[in-house]
Amino acid sequence: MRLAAFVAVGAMALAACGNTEDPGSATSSSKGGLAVGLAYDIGGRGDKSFNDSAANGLDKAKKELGATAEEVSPNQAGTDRADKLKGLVDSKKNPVIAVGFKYADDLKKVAAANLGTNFAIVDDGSIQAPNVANILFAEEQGSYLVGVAAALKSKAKHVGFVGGVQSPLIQKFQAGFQAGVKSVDPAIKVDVQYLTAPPDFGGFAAPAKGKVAAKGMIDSGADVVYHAAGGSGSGVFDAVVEARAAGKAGTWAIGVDQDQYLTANDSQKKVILTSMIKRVDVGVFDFLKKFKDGEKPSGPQVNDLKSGGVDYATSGGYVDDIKDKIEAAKKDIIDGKVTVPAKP
Amino acid sequence: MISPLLLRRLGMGVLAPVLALVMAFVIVAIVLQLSGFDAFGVFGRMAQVGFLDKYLIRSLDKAVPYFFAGCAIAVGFRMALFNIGVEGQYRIAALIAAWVGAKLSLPPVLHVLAIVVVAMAVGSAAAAIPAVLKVTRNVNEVVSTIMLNFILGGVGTWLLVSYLRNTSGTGNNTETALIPPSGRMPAADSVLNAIGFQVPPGESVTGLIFVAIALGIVLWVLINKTRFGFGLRASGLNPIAAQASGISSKGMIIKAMLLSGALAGFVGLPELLSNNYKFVSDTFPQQLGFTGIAVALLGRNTPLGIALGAFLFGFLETTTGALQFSANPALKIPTEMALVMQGAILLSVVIAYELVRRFELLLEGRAVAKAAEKLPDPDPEPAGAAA
Amino acid sequence: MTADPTAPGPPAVELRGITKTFPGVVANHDVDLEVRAGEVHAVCGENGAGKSTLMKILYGMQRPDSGTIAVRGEQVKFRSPADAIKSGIGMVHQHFMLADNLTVLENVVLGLPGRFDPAAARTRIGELSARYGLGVDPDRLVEQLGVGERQRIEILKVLYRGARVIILDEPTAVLVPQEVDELFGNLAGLRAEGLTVLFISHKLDEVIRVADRITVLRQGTTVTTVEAGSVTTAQLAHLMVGGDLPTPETRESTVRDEVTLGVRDLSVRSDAGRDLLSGVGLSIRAGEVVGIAGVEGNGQAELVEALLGTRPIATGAVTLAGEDITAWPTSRRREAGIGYIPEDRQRQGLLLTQPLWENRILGHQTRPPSSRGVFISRRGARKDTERIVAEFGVKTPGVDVPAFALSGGNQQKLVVGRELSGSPKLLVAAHPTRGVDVGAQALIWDKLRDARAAGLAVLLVSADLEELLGLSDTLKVMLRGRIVATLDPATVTPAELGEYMTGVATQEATP
Repeated sequence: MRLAAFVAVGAMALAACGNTEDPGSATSSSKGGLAVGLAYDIGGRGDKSFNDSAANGLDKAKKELGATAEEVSPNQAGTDRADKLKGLVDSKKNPVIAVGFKYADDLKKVAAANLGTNFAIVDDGSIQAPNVANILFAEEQGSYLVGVAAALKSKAKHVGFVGGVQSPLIQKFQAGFQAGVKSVDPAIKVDVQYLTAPPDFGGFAAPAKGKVAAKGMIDSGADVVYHAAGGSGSGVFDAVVEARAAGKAGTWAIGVDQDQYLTANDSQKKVILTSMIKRVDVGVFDFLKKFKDGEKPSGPQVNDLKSGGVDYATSGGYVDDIKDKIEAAKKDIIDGKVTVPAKP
Repeated sequence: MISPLLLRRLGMGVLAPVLALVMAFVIVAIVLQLSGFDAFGVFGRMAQVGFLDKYLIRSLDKAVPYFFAGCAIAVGFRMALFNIGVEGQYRIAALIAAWVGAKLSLPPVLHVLAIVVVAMAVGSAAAAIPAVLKVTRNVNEVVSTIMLNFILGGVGTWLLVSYLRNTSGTGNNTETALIPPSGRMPAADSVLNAIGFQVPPGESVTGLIFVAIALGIVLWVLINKTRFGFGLRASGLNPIAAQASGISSKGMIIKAMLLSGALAGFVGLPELLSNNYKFVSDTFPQQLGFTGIAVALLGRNTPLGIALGAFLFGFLETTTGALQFSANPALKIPTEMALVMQGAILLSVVIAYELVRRFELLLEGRAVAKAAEKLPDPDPEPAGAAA
Repeated sequence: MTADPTAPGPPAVELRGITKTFPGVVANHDVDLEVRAGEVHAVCGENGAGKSTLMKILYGMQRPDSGTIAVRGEQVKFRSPADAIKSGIGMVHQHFMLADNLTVLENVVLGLPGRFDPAAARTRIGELSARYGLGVDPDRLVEQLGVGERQRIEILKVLYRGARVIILDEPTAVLVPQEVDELFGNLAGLRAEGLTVLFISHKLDEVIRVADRITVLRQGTTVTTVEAGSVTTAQLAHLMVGGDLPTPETRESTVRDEVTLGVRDLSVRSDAGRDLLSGVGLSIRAGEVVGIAGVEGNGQAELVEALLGTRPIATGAVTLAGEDITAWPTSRRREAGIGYIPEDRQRQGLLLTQPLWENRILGHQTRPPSSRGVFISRRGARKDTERIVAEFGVKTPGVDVPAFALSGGNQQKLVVGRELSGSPKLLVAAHPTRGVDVGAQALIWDKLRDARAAGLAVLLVSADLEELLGLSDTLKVMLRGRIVATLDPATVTPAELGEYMTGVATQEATP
């Protein structure tokens, strides 16, 4: 049995003999244009979340900057992230963008070995290299604004935060939200619950858990619930829809990442007060635009309220009555009068 | 009399994997064609890139943890114990070893040794739980190890988040502190270069590959040449006969599980000692324990077989990964296709080995009967004369 | 064996010329069996006489190599139990096949095709229970029921499926005497209602009590069919064992003075706390063969396991050559010189897929020539296997062939050769020639006699009376976990032995 395996492998080896060209680099870069390599996190394009947001930025770059792109995503076990980055470099992609902080360790090494290629990584600020740009978002600033909205709308003086996974990134959302709430009324109670803890990332894709968590908060008296839980957020919306149906009229939910009012179903639309928008698409596009314009961005590329990288949503018109106050808070942050903490 | 038997056994040995590979090729080809890909182009490209130095080296590097996982599983399989818990065992072992490794300050070789010992000890301790449950309470180890995968995962997370994490880090990852250079394993690259490989820049093979080779040899000797190994195999083949022969089944269960757990401790070491030097909760390699089951099955629980199986899995992963970058859309298969291929190979191997085994049993039985007929009646004394 | 001309109509079941071989073993050879409608018909024979195989064939679990089956005069071919059930044949297995966590009703209807109508099922169960006096409550959980009740549910299950012929495989093996009486009452009830019962047993007294007619099987073939009223237990035992029992040869005693095995007050209990062995005492001197006679299942297996140390004992002490080995694990006992020929060589004595030389190591893995230090010695084991092959005439092309490739007799010769290796002090031999051909049997007997002459103490457990009488220096009879008689094989008659074995005759227990 082992002998035969050797024979088979040997035969394949012979077939490959004399071939020194690396077919991995078969894709030629588009001549003179912007040949982008984009490595999604697990799930890839079509996840209706983080990856899609990055994809939107890329699509815009394709349209407006004439970019071509190679898009890849890692296997389910996530054991081939480095391979994907190397593959993009080998296919002469420049720049190469990694979506998600999980790429940090691998990108650091690949970038160090390929100084001729420019890289960008979304949501990671730990890599400091001349050829790496860190596309960062001031999630705490956006969360601060929805925190202000939540505090102003809460009649019970009691709000909640549902985090998908207890990681430093999501804790930024929590910190900003809490600060925003307290800025309106320090007496308001903020419930905090995370659905899972690493390495279980199921908390971003568990609507049932989101629903249970939100229901628990509402049952204990909260009337506005903000979620930073990816796909689990739909469960949070459902919990609020049910609370409304059960007679708790003034109960609200707050969405995250995208303007979720636009993607929610009809019954959920009625309860989505606002959303904290994190414009990964803007971050990706801006990076590509700078690169196209000849700049070689490196270091932190902060997308905050000022740059429009984070914001709050007004769709549905439910915050129209308090818009002045939110805008005032926004102005304070942009002007530097208020500094929002990034850690709870 | 012997040589035709041996010859046939050898023939059967070649037949099984050839049959398996052919079956796997056919299944995968059908799946690929139905999904709109060019199956033969895909296979051709895989063979082509797979033996380029870069990908060959990458496959080798990936094979090392698979090999350890396969060995951990195989030790249990050899005595019909299904340690599905290698997954949980290696992760908790790696976590603790990473933390200890980062805390310690020892001279270079000792430091690495200490990390290895911690990983083995934690792996063993984790495997001891299902072993003790089985011996004292007759709890099926499949159930207990699967449960423990979840429990150990939870315990690991809690430990990492509450106590073991590096709070001075700058990234978003939840991780342990870096193991200092004295606790790292030199890469195997220079040795590999010296023996004729050409490790390209940007690629590296973990130095643990030599540990793996040594371990494989030791394991082979242990299982095939020692009393312990004999007891292990006998307990697996026929527990009742083994028990009557003075081989304590409880003792063997404990020993086999401890050994399996210790081997599981090695699974995470390539990542710790020669890649990332830390345990990162989000990106630490996952599912290697489950891959190990497949690798052990493929390798028929022998170290050499496991080594080949591990390499084959590494090879599939790198080559299918490379296909993602192909310019030709007919070759640009999704990464999930690697899983399909692994599954097809595994299925084919199990079926082919079983078919060949039955065929072999049949032939062998017949051959022995025939050979025995030809023998002169060997009764040394006239039977029954003394009665 | 011809059909009784007075019997009304065709026989309920008629088997003609049934032959079934398994690799290396002829389980049934030209067996005839005729069961009249409305009778209780017993099939008896020693273990291995082919009773179970025959019943499996009748119930469609196995297909005969040749021969015919007729049910109520019609030829049938069963491919599965489902076919047998369709023909009105049902089987109650020795080991019940009931789901504990379901009710009686649920168990009865479990696996039936079609829609399930609980009300109708409950009515039907009530009717059947009343008609045959089974006293079954359809709504109780099976886990709450005792063994006897469970057995009645099995019978009810079979009746529910419309069986007219019911096969009961060793139904009394699991019952206490009172339950046995109840069962026999039920069987009488079934017969009174015109059903036919096939009763499998090797317990002679029971067979005579319950059956109308008895068919005796021996070595896979039919010996005869007799009216139950016309035979005695002794005659039946005679038929089961076959022909005239051999006159035990007169031979010189090799019994020496020193006691090799001493067993005192040995008791073993089941997990449920039932006594499997109670107060067994015996001693075997060097050069002595002590035979244990008894109907199977009366504690012989437990005695063997207790001596080997594979079964925990409740009370008592065991000494080997004067040393107390009661607390020793199996490995130490084996090393100290206890050899073991297991009852079932394939299940308990061999690694079937491994070569002969590896099988030589089994049980000797800590001793030369099989091992050297912590390593096993391939060379030593091979060489010694070759010796066994030559001395015991094991028919094999070499010592590298896997054990399964050998015939049963040759496997057994290998096992015996192995167990006589390394000069053991005591040999525990359980049915050492069961299922082997005549030649191998004679050779094994010779080898055992040689070893005895050389000073080996042998505990011989056997169901083969010829073997027991021919080999033993002393004969002990076991019944219900006790040694009930000590006999001299030179003077005992098979009839006497049969009476002791079935408890008809008693003797003050003499340890």
